[in-house]
Amino acid sequence: MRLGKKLWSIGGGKGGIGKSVFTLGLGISLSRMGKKIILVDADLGGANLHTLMGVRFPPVTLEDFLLNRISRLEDIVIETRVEGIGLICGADDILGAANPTYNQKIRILKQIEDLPADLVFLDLGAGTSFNILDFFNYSPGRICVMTNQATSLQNVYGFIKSALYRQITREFARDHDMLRLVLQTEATAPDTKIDSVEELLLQLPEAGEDRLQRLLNLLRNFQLLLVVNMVRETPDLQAARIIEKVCESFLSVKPEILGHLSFDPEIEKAVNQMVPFPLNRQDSPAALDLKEIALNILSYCYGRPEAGQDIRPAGQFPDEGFPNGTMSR
Amino acid sequence: MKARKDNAGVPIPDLGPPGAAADLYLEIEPRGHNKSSRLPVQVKNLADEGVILEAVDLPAEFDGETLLQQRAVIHLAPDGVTKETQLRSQVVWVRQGEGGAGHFLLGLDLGAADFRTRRVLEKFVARPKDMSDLWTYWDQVQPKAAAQIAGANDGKIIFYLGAGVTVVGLALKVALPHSYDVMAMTLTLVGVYLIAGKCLWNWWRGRTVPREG
Repeated sequence: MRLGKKLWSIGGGKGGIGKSVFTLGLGISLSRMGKKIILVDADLGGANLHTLMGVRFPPVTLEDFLLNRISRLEDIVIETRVEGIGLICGADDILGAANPTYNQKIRILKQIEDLPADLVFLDLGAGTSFNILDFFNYSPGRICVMTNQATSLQNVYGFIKSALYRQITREFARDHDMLRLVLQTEATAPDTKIDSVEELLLQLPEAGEDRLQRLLNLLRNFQLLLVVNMVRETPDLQAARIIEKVCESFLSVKPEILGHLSFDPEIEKAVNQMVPFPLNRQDSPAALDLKEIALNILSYCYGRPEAGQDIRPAGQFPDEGFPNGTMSR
Repeated sequence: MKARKDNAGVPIPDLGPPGAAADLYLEIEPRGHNKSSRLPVQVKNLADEGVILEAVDLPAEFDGETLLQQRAVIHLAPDGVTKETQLRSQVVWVRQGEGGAGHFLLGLDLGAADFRTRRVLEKFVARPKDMSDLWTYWDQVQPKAAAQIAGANDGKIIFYLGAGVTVVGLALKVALPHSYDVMAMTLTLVGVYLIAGKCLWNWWRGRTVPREG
């Protein structure tokens, strides 16, 4: 997969899985590689990325932009203690900032593209609200953070599925026949229910070749990357494999595994001390993992690094573990 | 589909003998001289003491209230592992489904149904295929419970062995002449090292085992 990307969204559906810590850590790792990074706290209503950076009282936030107190998004970027990282602080849930209108969203997204940075990372909130899904879908680079917990698997799959179906319904917003087919994915009667995107595709030739082509293009462009957080031992990485397989089978999209973040007590210490991780902790296991992920991100953006720089170890995500022939659809 | 009158004078539809594809159907037991009747159903959900069934495609004029308090048998087709299962139950409530006429939800009391019965019924609960696959994969990658229990037993054995060797060493030290002191002390040390080693192992494992919750 080769992506020409400046804007990346980091989601995952579930709260408390480390999206903000990951976003910050990735930003710091990339800034150490000489990239100019801007982090946007798009967790509207639950913003705390600034706290992780040690900023207790942000002077300006997205709210100032949303309420037109400041017209340019660039003007609400605050400098941080980490060289090379700018931060746009999120808004609290006052004055309806957690629910920007469609026009407000477009205004944010258009200006994000013009921000003076090599890479911009959007830290999304939990849940699958349309706001979150729209930010996620709008971004050319999409990362889903998950853990190996059952609840995280459930939520991250739900998040990906919701994002994809949101994208489909927006693409075919005026196509009632197509929308009727999409609605059949929610049907309860076995004879009318559509269980997968593949089944949806099979219905489309009757509905027109153009629709089929548009949906295939949409699926082809719906690329996303997975990161497993809080990994304690190798089998934890199977969580990403499960999501990969289920997405491929039922959503006809194949997420790629970007990397993992080891469970690291240093992260909790850093959060409590309000010191951006991995600042001053560059040799901790999670810091090394972040460095690997940062290199992989760069390779997605600018092509593969020089030989020897691609440090994702072979076999890091073992594919074994699922007995052959035990799954059926 | 034929219909008959129950003793309340209201027709209850009868599927006739279920076809080969019928994995599940509900047989309403006869009242008086009437024959039993069969309804096509799906398991909607499991409740605390019973099961909620969904009946679809019943005749539009069918009055679901006629099923109230009727004794019924849930027939589950063999699944390759278990034989055909018949669960005795009683219809305790009936509700019109959202699908309009001909669509009903039935609450059935399963009486003293055991855990095995619930597991059998669980297989028939209508569920999204993608989530079903996701959980199947999940189950496949979980550490086997038996292996965990075996591991725990091994741990206990090492503790007991260490304690036993230590006690024997100390006992020999007290009971035997001084010429046996080296042997007694060696045994005591081996026992202590076993316990200490096991404690260290458990501590290290505790750091690497995934968190719950």
